[in-house]
Amino acid sequence: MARMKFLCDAERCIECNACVTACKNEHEIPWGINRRRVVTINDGKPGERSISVACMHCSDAPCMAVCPVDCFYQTDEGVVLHSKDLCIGCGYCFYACPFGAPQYPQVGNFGSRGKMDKCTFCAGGPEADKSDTEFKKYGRNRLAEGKLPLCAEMCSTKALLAGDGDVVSDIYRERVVSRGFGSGAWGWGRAYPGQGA
Amino acid sequence: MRIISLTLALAGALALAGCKDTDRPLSYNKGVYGGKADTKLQAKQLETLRHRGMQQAQ
Repeated sequence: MARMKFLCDAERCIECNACVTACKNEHEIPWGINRRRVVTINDGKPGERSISVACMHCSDAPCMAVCPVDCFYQTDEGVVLHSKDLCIGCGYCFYACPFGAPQYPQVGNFGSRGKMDKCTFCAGGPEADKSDTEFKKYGRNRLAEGKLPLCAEMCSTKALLAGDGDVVSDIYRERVVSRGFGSGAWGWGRAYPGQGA
Repeated sequence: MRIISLTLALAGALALAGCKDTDRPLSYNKGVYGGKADTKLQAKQLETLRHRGMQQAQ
């Protein structure tokens, strides 16, 4: 099995924010924390695009690299998770993450912002699977129930894809072929100018 | 005197009981995750997830 991955198809995302709502509801995320959010560029102008962003579960995760207490770990499926028992709420991961994924329950200086919270790919945490402790600390463990992240599963336009990286890339590749233009991946043209955008 | 000694010994024992080992790692190895180990997914669960992922193409 390949690594678990998210992929948001900017050609399909309609900025409905249902993924954000579904995530908050499924994990009972408190007010002020958003594990997922929708970012829109060129709002109201030609070329407007929206993309749903959360932790991208990086292969070489910068949050893991900078954590001073090494509270992060990666599962065999490539999901980046952390232990709230070890987290000291220093905020280094927030500054290191290019996606702004780490969230904190309180606003304050070092140590006063509380334990970091982020998207778990609906994989819970290091507590026993499907336990109350796991749910209270990390949210629901849908992977252990044989389900993919709810944000992707309930996406009405199937813009947000999640799951085995091989499966996700196959689905996306077929879409690009049927559309008949470019890779369509958001930001591809800017990152790789003149290479099939 | 004996009562005081016994009381102190009891209080000491109770105080030391609060120092019992916890789940927190007591030694730090740089770059190594020292927290609780997560439960691994079984092959059947992974197969279910893979099939579920394919349904997103529909």
